[in-house]
Amino acid sequence: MMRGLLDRLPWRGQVAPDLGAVGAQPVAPSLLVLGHSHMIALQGARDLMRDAGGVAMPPMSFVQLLDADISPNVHFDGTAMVLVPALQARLEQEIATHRATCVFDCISGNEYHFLGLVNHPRRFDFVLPSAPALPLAEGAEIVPYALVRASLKASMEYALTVLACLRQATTLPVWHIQSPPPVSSNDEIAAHPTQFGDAIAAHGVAPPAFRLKLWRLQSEIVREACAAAGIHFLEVPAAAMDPLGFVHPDAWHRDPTHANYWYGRLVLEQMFALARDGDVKVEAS
Amino acid sequence: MSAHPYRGLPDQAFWRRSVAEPSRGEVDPVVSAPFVLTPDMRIATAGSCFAQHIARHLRASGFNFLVTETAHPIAGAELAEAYGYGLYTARYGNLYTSRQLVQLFDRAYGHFVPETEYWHDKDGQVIDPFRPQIQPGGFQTIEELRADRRHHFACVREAFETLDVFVFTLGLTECWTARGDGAAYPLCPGVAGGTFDPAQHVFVNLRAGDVAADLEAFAQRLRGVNPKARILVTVSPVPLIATVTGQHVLVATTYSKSVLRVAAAEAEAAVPEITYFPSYEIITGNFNRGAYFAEDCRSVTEEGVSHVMRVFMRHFTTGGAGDVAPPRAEPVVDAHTASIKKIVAVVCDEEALDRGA
Repeated sequence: MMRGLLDRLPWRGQVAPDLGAVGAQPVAPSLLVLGHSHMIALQGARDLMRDAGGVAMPPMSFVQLLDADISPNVHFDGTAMVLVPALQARLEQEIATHRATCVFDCISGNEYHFLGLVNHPRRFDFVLPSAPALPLAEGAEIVPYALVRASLKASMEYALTVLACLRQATTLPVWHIQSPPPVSSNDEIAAHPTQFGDAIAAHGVAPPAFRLKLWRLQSEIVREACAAAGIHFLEVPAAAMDPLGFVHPDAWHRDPTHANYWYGRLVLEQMFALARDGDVKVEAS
Repeated sequence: MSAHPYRGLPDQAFWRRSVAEPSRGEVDPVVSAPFVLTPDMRIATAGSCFAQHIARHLRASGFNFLVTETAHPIAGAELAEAYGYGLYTARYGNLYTSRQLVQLFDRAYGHFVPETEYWHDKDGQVIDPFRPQIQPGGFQTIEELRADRRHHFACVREAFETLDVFVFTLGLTECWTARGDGAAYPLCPGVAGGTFDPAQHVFVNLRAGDVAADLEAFAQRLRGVNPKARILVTVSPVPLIATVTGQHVLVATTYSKSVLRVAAAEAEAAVPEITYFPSYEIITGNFNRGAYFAEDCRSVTEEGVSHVMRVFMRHFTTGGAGDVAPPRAEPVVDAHTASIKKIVAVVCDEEALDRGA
């Protein structure tokens, strides 16, 4: 579990953000969150905030997209890819029951680890056009950026399809929550490898800059997909990142691929503010 | 009847017996092969697009088609092909002229560094002037191009130094070169990147002596790094798509192909390790009444390619599986990435299960 998480909850003893009493405004914000494993950090943070008290939160409901009865999340209905009927029904039910005013999603977000958490036996690296100064791994084969991008995007096909289908499934505004950045420390990953232990022992953790490039590339692909589909893109909170753009050490989860509840809390604060008055940055500059 | 040199000659010497009478698919213009390929021999290919057919059939027939520059396994087969991997031994794209071949060797070994290092396309992407169509969308940065080129040259050197037989298909005589250093481009600047500038770019129509000299120069260089290498030269039967000579394209095609055919013969006569293979004659010979060209009178049909490869296999190979229909490229399976993907899925499931417990 997380290291002294309750002691590091920065909102304890502080004045909670004024979200307005539920029902006090003509349309009180009510958040529906759908997602895969990254949603756990948000749920955990919400529970801790609720249990700690003193924090006014808008109503929130969560739909875990990994649940067996709605997974896989999409299918071909003979005309187009759509949410599976069970998920479509669940979505409509949640919206109606909780009078949801907006939808957030944490769909997938770990595909970049396929290519870059562990060193590939045929070591490779690439130049990221949006950050050409990021270093190249010494001795690595330089694979064309376009080819890496196409390979990564192919790995994301399912997630991008779910994202597009979600947009088609509701008229409510939809925000996609950017997945957490990678952990900067290879030692931290090696110390808490979870299921990656054998692979890390065999090949080693990939260089941090390489992992950061892949995450940024993944985010660029998702950002483009969101723009094309009419989905807002909610960036990682600045406070949740270190100066180089890796996930902040306080967000480490002893799991190379997920962030903790502290991180989730920062994201929730963004979501609350956004649901309240839309004054957070939601698009890439 | 008196004796004379034609009396008693084999059928191959007579048009009626060896061209007019056999069925179309049985015409065989090869008299003898100075060497044969075995499945363990490394066969490299380069040249104009017709050479891709040879590579496909060699691979399909169980021969060791040497590929030193392979796509990284993260790319599937379709992506790899789109990026020019596996079409030839290395990712050099089409080498239409003998001048390109010699310069490829010299560039790979650092003996020639062209003044023009890169072009830009209309979108500002970086283009390799010597492989302008190898990378869909171009390179992102000059550094990416340089890194790729370093790797490419290493693969080219590995190919030249380890191949047993080099199959090269001569395609064109017309080419565009840099006025300053003579660097030969596969495409006219401005067609797929770069900007055409008459002050910098000059048209060259290679003559038979030029092409023969290029082939001999290449053979000498190859011998220097790989003394046992054999060279099999063919001439592409594919007509010019366009000419800037001012001649009719049909006339220009006849001239170019004639030059290439003469040069191949001259080089074969001058260089022991060079052998000519008559794929050109099989496709363009009037015995097939144009059947080996598609509707555009330019593309070679699969029937024609099969005829060429059947003759090639009959004379130049032993021990292969025989000519079979060329399959699509084998799917590339990246076992490493697939295994990591499974672990990520397990970790994500566990994260969710932990929450649900």
